Amino acid sequence: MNEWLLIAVFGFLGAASRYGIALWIPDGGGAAFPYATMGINLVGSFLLGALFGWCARRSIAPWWREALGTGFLGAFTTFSAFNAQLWELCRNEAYGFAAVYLLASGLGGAMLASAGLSAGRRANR
Amino acid sequence: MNAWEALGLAGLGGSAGALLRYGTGKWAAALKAKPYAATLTVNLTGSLLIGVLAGMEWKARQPELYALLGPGVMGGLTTYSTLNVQKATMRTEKRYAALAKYAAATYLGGWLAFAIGFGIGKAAKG
Repeated sequence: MNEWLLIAVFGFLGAASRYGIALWIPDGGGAAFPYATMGINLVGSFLLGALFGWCARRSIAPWWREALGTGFLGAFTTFSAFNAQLWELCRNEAYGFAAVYLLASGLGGAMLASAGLSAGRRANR
Repeated sequence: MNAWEALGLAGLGGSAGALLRYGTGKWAAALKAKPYAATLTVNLTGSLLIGVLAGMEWKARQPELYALLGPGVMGGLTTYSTLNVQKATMRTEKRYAALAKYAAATYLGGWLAFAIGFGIGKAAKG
């Protein structure tokens, strides 16, 4: 199957899922903490780690990896909204929230990705 | 614009953004660049452009176009999952200098790109 078509379809699903969650749990803007985007980025980081960990042990069809990893999870998670929200928090002088958001997404997210990689490898022995 | 239309617009934009990100990865591979160079490129570009939209206050003034371009194209173009997996892999492989450089370029660069975009957007709005 054509990889570009798969990326388009799964990118649609990933971005629409992110937007749907944001409609359901609005990020609030201003000085409000962006829980939805943080949760999306953390869950997405764990799942991409798990997918890569799984693939490291046993190869799956490469198009699955591209569709789920590059297409769905790539579009589900976002770095642009993260920067926009960080900016909003600082502009509203919510520096504590900004620091927590940065650390949770950057450090916590990398730790979750690590945990995902190990979990994926373990699950696919 | 109802919720379904908004979802459709964000999805369509996300589709285009994901294709641009995939294409950037292919292009970087063809140039023999490191994979994280492609991720850094899309993340900084997306942060700059979302800054322009924020500076122009498109969310309030053009909600349909904003859904398509903001959470859609820019959201789909940029990614946090790949970024975190790359950071985790660099740490596991004890490539601490590369990790520090990558994190600095991503976070300082992303902030700066957004700020520059925001300034451009504000100026364009007039």
